Parts: sequence; C-alpha cells; structure tokens
Amino acid sequence: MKKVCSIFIFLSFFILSGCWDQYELEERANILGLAIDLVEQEDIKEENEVTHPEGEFPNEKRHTFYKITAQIAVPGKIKLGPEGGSEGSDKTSWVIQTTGHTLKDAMANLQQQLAERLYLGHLQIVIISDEIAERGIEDVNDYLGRNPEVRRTAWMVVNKKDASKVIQAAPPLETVPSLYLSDTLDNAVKFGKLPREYLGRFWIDLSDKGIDGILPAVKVVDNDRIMVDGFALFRGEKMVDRTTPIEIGVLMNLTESNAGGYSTPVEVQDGIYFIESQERTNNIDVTLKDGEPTANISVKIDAILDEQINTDSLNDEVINEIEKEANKKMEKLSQKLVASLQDTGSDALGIGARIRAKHGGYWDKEIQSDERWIDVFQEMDISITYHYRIRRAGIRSQ
Amino acid sequence: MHKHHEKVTPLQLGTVIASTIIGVSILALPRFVVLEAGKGAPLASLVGITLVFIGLLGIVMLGRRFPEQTLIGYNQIILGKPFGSVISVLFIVYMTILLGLEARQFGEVIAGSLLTNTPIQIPIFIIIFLCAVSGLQNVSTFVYIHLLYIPLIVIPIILIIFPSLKDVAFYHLTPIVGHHPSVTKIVQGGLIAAQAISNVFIISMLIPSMKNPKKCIKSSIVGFWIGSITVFIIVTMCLAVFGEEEIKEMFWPTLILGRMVNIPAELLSRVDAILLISWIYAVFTTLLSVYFFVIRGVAELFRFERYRLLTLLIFPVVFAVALIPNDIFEMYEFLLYVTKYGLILTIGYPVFLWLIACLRRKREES
Repeated sequence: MKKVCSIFIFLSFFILSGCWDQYELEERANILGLAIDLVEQEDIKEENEVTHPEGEFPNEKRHTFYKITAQIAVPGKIKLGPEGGSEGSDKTSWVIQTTGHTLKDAMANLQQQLAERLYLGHLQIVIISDEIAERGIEDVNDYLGRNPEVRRTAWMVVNKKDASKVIQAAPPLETVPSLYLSDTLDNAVKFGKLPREYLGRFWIDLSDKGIDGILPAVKVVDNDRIMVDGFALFRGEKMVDRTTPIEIGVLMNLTESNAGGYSTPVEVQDGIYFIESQERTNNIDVTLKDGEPTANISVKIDAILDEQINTDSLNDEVINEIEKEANKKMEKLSQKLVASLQDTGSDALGIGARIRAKHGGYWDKEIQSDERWIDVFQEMDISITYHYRIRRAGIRSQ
Repeated sequence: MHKHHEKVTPLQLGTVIASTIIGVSILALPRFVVLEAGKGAPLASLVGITLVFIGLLGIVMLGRRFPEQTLIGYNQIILGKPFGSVISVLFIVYMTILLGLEARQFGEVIAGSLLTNTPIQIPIFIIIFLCAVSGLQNVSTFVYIHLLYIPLIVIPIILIIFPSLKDVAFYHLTPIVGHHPSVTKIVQGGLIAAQAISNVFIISMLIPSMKNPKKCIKSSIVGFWIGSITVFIIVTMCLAVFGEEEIKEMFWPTLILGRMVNIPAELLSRVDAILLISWIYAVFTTLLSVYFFVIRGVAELFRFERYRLLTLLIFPVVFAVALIPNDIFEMYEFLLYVTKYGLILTIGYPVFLWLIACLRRKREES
C-alpha cells in the first residue's frame, strides 16, 4: 500500500502542478474594443493567406469582406495608467486593422500579426457599422456567442458608416479609449438614459419570439468622445431604422422601469418648464378582444421641476397644469414612436412576447412565427396613457 | 455483514442527499429540460423531482424495513440470491458508466469554457483521482466531506443567481405549461430532470451505518427538497432570464447566467469564476457519492472488503468509460440514453422492490 501511495504522490507532481492554459497577463493581447466594418473586395490590397490560399475561400451565400479594427492593450508593454499626464490616449493603446472573409478569418489574420495571444475576455465594446447591421448580424453574433471568452455584459453599438472611427476616438481623460466608451454606456444606464441592452440581453431579444432587439446607436463627437444618438431598431437580425435620442427616453418610458433620466420642456400658459423624470413604473397590458390583440401601456412618472423660463409664478395649480401638459406631450411623442415602430415592423416593445406569454393559445393557433406576428403588430391598436407627478421643484419656492 | 463503527446522523444523511443531487448536470440541465418542455421547463422539473422523490421514498421505506441491509442486501433477501445478485451487478455497472460519463461531462465543461488548451483527459483524471483518494473506505469521512461542502455549494449558487433577478423577463415564464401544451412534453422534460438527480438512491448504502436507521425518513426528505429546490431554482432562473429560444442555443445556460451577472457596486466583474468553483465542489461530491456506491456495492456483493484495492481497480475502468464518447454531442447523447434507461433502476426498481417486500411480508430477522 505504501508503494501505491508513493506512486500516486509521484504522479501528482506531474499532474497537479502543470497548467496548459497558463498565460501570463503580459502574454495576452487583450482586445478591449472591436470595430467591425464591411469593405469592398477591390479595396483590399492583398488577401492574407492565413486560413486559406488566395481565391479559395468556400463560397458564401452572401459575399462579405469584414474589416476589423481592434484596440489592444498588452499590460506591461503598452504603458497604461497615469503617466506623464498630458499624453492623450492615442499613445497608450494600440489600434490595429485587418480584413477577412468572416470574423474568424479576420481574427486569424490578426493573430498572425501579433506576438501575444489574442484574448477576448476583456472585450468591452463591439462597434458595428450600420451597413453590417442592415445586412444582418447573425455571422457576427455566431462568432462572439460561440467564443467562451466573450462576456455577455459587453456592449454592442451601431455607428453610422465607419465603425473604426469610434475605436479611434481618443478621449483625453482616460488612457484606454475603449474603457471610456464602455463607461459612457454603463453610466448612461445608471443615469437612466439607456436601457440595460448589452450584448447578452440583445441576443436574448433576438432569439425570443415576439420581441425585436435594439442596440444603442452612437456617433463620434469632435473625434474624442461618443454620443448615444438613438436606437438602432432591428427586425429579426437586420437593422431597419434608427431613432432620435429623445426617442430613447420615450421607448424607455414604455418598457423600462429604472430611474428615468430624460428631461422635457413643457409649455404652460406663458411659462416654459423643464421637468426631469426621476422614477417610472410602467405596465404593458395586453388583451384579446374578439380575437384581436390590443395593448394598453400605462406609465407613471415621478418628476422634478428643473427650470422655469419666461415666468415666476410657480404654485400648486401651475404644477397640476404642467402635469397635464406633460402627460399630453409624452402621449403624443409615444404614439408617434409606436406608430413608427409599427410602420417599420420592429416590435421593440415586446408586445408580441407578452401576448405569447399571456394568451399562449391564441399565439399557438393564430401567430406561431415572428413574421406573422409583425403583420398583426402593424395593424393592432396600442393605447398609451401617462401619469406624471411632479414631486418637487428644487430649492426655490417659486 | 461487516461491522459499522462509524455512525451516520440524520443531519449527515440529509446533506449527502442534497449535495448528491446538485451535481455536474446543473450547468446543462436547463437546456435539456427546455428542449423537451419549452416554457413548461419549471413545471417539468417539478414533475421530475416528484418522480425521484417517489423513488427515494421507496429506498427509505426499504431502509426502515431492513435497517441492517444495503441495496445489495435487499436484492438478495427479497428476490433471492441469484436473481438479486444479477440486479446488483446491473446497478453497479450502471453506476460505473454513469460515473465515467459524468466525469467526462465535467471534463467537457472545463475544456470547453475554462481551460481550452488543457487536454480533456487531465480534468477527468484529476476529478476521479480526487474521489479515489478521499477516503471511500470510511463512511464517516465520506459523510463529513459532504457536510463540509454543502454550504460551499448551495450558498454561492443562490448568491449568484439572486442578482440576476433584475434581468428576469416574466414573459419568459408563462404559460407555465409551455406552448402547444401536451402531457408528453411535460413528462419527457420531467424525465430529463429526473435523470439528472436520480442518483440519490446511493443513500441506501448509508442507511445501515446510521445510528438509528428508522430515523432516516424525515432527514432524507428535508435533504432531498433542499437539493431539488436548488435545482428547480436554477432551471427556473435560466428560463426566466434567457427564455426558451436562447437557452436552446447554449450548452451550459447556468454558466452563461453566471457570466451575465453584475454584482451591485461592481465589486467583482466576473462572478462566473465563483459559480464554477462551487460547481466543481458539487461535481466532486456527486461523483464521490457515485464512486462510493460502486465501491461499497462491489465490496458487499463479492464479500471483498479491501476498499483501497477496489478503488484502484475501478479507477481505470471509469477513466476508460469517460474517454469513450468522441465529442461533446456524442457524450450528451450517450449520457441521456444511459440515464434514461437507468431511471428504471433508480426510480422504478426501489418502489417495485418495496412493494414486493410488503407483499411477501419480508422483514429482517432480528
């Protein structure tokens, strides 16, 4: 028995000590941000023959060429952290670009050019151009969803035309631009300016029946920061429309119930009042009337008054007036948004999913598929009521 | 019969049941139940849990009737020696295959999501090795291992699942019977859930070692429901967060749930590591239970009580079984096939045996 034990102990030196997957932090090329664009074949100077000989890539259903722009941080090799101070972020991280037939092909090309192993575990943000979004993003989703390293809390955003510009935007505040970009989005969620629609949630909405995905749409401002510029509305895997930033707030009023961060100007009598929503609760109620689905959305918003212009006669009556006016205004805006959603056929509100949940029998018999649902969605009645309550008006009494 | 110096308390019996239930399968289970039952997955898992509960009651009632015997003993007393031995061999073969396949499933998760460059043989080898060296020869070591690990399994899992409540979409859960509801779908989903937790019957090896075998009922019921409710919560939360369509696309929904969790205040950004660690504990305790059953079963059947030697002899067999499937798809197909027919042994048979014992008025001669 002693012998057996000693053999086991001897063996365990070999088995328990080694680590095949040991990669020191310094040996990893951490991709923090990834921008994906489409390019024309003519624009490619030469095809990298990393995964296939030139001209012998298997026939795709749809001929694509991706250009990926990756922002890479190699700890210890590229200086991070506060150093010098005045240097912008353009010197602290490394932005590299390559192309490929598919995302994997492009990543393989990228790996071929680097000494360190690519690591996607710290990926914060994926930017896709609206060209890709319009063509359908199932290929991008497949690669990212299959890779065990990618976090589902990363963001995916849509940029107009050139996605690589977003990655190259160099904020002077943070040494790693991608971190600043993803912080912009994370904080927007905290302030109630953006729903928690990160990659994982987006994928869930894409798979679900009766709900369509939305992605934040961004644009670069002054080459050094990004602005959330609305939503990209999807229908299935394809982007069909973009909203304006104010419509983010409207859409969130209808579906999300976290803190509301959007403010609206309201005109009452001669005064203009800015009210900012603080807290909202909403309820989407779906019913079947004579076999036709209808939806009632009621939204309750607690708001504070931020600014008063043209007048100084704030009192209880005026507050009541403002509330009524705000209700009217938001109802109008919401109806406009819903009408445009119905127009483009993108059920970002998830009304279909709710009908499917509440009236399963009806769905199973009449609807069954997403396509059929959109037809019904475009025709259905959706009524919206708002109920604003203004709680306080800052520290001025009038 | 060998003498039992070590005495198992009812609390220990309960923890063994709970930690045996929570095992390798919790990562993949939501997917397989949803594949069968769709949105009816929570209901289906309740059906499955109830099925296993009936099987467990069978075992416990047998334990009360024959306080000095294990499953091997019941077989021989109730069915007669030759036929009883055949059934016992069946049980042992089934559990050995199950042990190998569960170890393989563990290896697949590790190789597929955590250590992508490590040869899959290594995690498999290590987990079986760990079970083999951690004292199968001694009942009290075995139960103390379970007692030690159960809080480390249940608490982190619940803690990690709790923050994901804010990602729950209630429309993922209704209608609770699923779309195009049918009894077959729910029952089939239930069977899958039952397959995942059916190895609780290993406690039949422990009952004779108890201080008072007659007191095993209450504690095993409590232990069973603690484990099962945890499994039920996992299935329900995965469905509530991901919805039926998305779950079908992933191998290990629970693992991905862990990846989506954001701990408030951003103390930790990747809590899936914690989930994986407590899952590894869960795998270890479950495999330990199965290994324990195999060793004890063989020892009693062949009246060969050199446990260490047996452990060593069975080790390569288990390892070989683990390496049979070619790929992850084949592994799951194989595993589901084996455990499906295993249900006859693990649930149907104990109840059947108990009924026979009642009919033939067999009792232990004291």
